[in-house]
Amino acid sequence: MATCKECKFITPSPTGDPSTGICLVDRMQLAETQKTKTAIRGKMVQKSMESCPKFEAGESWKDIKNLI
Amino acid sequence: MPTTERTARLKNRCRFKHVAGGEYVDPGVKAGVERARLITQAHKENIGEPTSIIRAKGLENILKKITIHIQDDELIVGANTEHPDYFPMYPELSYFSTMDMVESHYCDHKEEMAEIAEYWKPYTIQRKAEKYFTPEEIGIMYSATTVQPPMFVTAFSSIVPNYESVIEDGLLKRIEVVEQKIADAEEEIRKSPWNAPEKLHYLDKIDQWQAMLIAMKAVVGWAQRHARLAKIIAENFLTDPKRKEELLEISDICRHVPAYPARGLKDAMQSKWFTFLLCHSIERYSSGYGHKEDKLLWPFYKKSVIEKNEQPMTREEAVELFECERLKVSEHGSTKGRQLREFFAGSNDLFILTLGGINPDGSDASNDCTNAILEAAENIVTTEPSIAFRWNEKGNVETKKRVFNCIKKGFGFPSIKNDELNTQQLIKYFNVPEEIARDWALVLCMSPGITGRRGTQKTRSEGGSDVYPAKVMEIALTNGFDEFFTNMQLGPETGNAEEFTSFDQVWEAVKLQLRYAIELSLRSKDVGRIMESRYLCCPFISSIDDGCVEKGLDGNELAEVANPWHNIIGGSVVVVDSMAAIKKLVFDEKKYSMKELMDALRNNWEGKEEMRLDFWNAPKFGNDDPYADEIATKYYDLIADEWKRNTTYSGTFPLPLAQSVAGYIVNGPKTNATANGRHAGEALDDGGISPYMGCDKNGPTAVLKSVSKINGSKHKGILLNQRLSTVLMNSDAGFDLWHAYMKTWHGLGIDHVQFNVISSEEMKAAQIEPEKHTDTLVRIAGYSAKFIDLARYSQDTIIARTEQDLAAG
Ligand code: SF4
Repeated sequence: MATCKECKFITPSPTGDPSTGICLVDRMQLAETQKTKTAIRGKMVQKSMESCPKFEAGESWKDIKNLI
Repeated sequence: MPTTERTARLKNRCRFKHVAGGEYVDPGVKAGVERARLITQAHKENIGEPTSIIRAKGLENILKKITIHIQDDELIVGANTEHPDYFPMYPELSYFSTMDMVESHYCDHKEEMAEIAEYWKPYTIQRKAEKYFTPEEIGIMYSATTVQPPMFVTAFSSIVPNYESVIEDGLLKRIEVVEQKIADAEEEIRKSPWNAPEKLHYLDKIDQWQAMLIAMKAVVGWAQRHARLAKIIAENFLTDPKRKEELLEISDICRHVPAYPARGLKDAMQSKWFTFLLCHSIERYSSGYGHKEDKLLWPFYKKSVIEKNEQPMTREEAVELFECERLKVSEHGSTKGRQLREFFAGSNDLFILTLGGINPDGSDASNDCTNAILEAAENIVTTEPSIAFRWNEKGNVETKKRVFNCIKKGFGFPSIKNDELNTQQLIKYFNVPEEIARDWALVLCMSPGITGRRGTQKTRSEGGSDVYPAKVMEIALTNGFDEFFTNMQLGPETGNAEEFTSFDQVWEAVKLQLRYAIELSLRSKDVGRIMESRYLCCPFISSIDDGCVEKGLDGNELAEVANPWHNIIGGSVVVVDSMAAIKKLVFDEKKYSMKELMDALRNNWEGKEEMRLDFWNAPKFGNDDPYADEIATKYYDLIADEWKRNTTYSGTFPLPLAQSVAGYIVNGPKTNATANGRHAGEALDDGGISPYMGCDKNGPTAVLKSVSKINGSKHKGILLNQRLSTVLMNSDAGFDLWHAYMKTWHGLGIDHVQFNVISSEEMKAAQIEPEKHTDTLVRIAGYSAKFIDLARYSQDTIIARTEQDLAAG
């Protein structure tokens, strides 16, 4: 079973702690009034956690579009 | 265009080490293992010796055995790793950072490095410092939500090396001075009668001086290795007579510096580069490129380029040398934990040099060396090193025109600091004598510190680290608990905002949360400082500081000139605008209750678009609107006062420094919806005092007027980003309009300003066809980056900044 750690939406932990990361999968398009376009709801995850239904295998660093 | 074919070739094959989204862009970049291997070997062999000696022997082992290389076309030689594609590792700093690297795809020596990391685990400053904090405090700091994780886990630091003493004295002379100090101490402790309180301190000092000797001798030997390598290549592997001659000259230079004083510009540049590598990257890792380059090099520039009596060269050759320097910096790999790689999206590291200002005698310090450095930056087009320009009334117009030329081309640098304001700050708060204060340079992106032979900043525990105000305000409304990102209690219980019945209660809660974050962060820095001085002595860095040599102290321990500051990163204006909206809509007009607001924020304004628009359209900072500006003034005074309550390691209080690096991007996703009408996960404000994206609607002068109401003298710096029209800047009237704007800026006593000069159309075109826009640069905050190396979320935040029309006033 895949874990969050293999997911391409995860970005590195804030400290370099290899056991945690930040999930950046949850995005929303913003209203016209806002000058930026996207909001990303970050979520702190343990890399040992089982993946969620949005899991996509890959490594985040390979696809800059998924990053912030 | 690069000035010569050489620098064109060098640029073409430069192994740039900048990062995007927390990762190195160039797929060839790898973690070099030699430094880690060699320092570990020396540690095992010398365990039991005093720490300063262990550290010196570690440096000696690295410098004796690390693979050295000289690349084709190079005029400045030397690197921090065994291969130009690599960056070094520092297992003695943070276990997490090392393990993170070991697990990454950058590390090809996983087994060996994991073993090295495990060996160092109990010795790292991370493990030494962690025990002075509760698990809850560690959890808060490591979550990077209200404060930056401490340097003992991120391994991040910054320094201003004493380049002057190396270039002016040469190390052999300094070795003699240190030997004499040891001889004098030995004599003192043998004097009759024995007096323990007066003599015993010499024991530690003798160790420190011995360590300095080991380090300096090793450095001279390392430079000689480069001299030999250059000669071997020249005599055995080259047929091109011109390159052969160049390499023999490089050999002569490395034989001469840093052992002896520099003779001309070539010596000074090489000596400076060796010193940079040692202080920023080999002895330990420290970010930055802090020095006053034009002042430092001017005597040698004069000798070589103007008077032509030492290492004579043409002006064009000098510009070429400065271009080579920019490429060396671009190729220099620095090792940062991932949190910091994300924080510097698009950059390699915070390499920032300082130019301009005035001399110690009060005369204009801009000279032809300043102009040549700016010309090189204009020609070679690299994001690094960034340049800060000290804008003084006395500064000559020719140099200011060159500054304008770089800005007009869209580099995002030089960023401009108010020279008089920043000089006065060092005099007023840190008791720096005026002549010394006049030689200041930025330590990192925004903070002035002294340069010269003694008392410069040696570690980021002196100045640095961050508090994140938007998150602090978020938890101030939720009783200190982070419901949005970590599900942790991040601060004291200051009440639930639903129950607040006055604006003062909101203010008080923010103040107390801020206080907690500041104090936790300051304590972590000072605990780190003690651990650095106990376990992370830097004998070479200490050996080139006259104060450390005189007193026999390590540079981490000695705080001869205090320079404490603390960053307040990305979110200050979100706080100000949110406060203004709450005051107006909840407490003045009573249109909404705090309960309604908290419900809306918790639900990310869902189903409450009309209410969100009310908050979005409430008074905003940056429009010369007294309602919002009054709150801003109060807020910036509050943060200065809150820091002022504390006394740090160096015996005084830190000044806050409002800026953002890429923190406004990285911290956006960690911050819930805010009362300025911002959604959860939307970016924060992009400077330290830049109006929120799209909220400055009354033109550039209104922005300046709002900013000028803040008492900048209470702050170490306050970053202002402005975006200007490309058409106008490139028109015939461009310089005059910009110059008039700068005079207004200066006259209003504002600390800082930096510019993006790029159209939305160009940025949008670069998003569609990135391959056609490889040299398009933008200013993030505190540094510049290639636009195409930013993720879409980050790119959009630059496009979103208001393009100001200087002609409209
Ligand atoms: S598996 Fe789900 S929660 Fe984990 S990182 Fe991927 S998208 Fe996020």
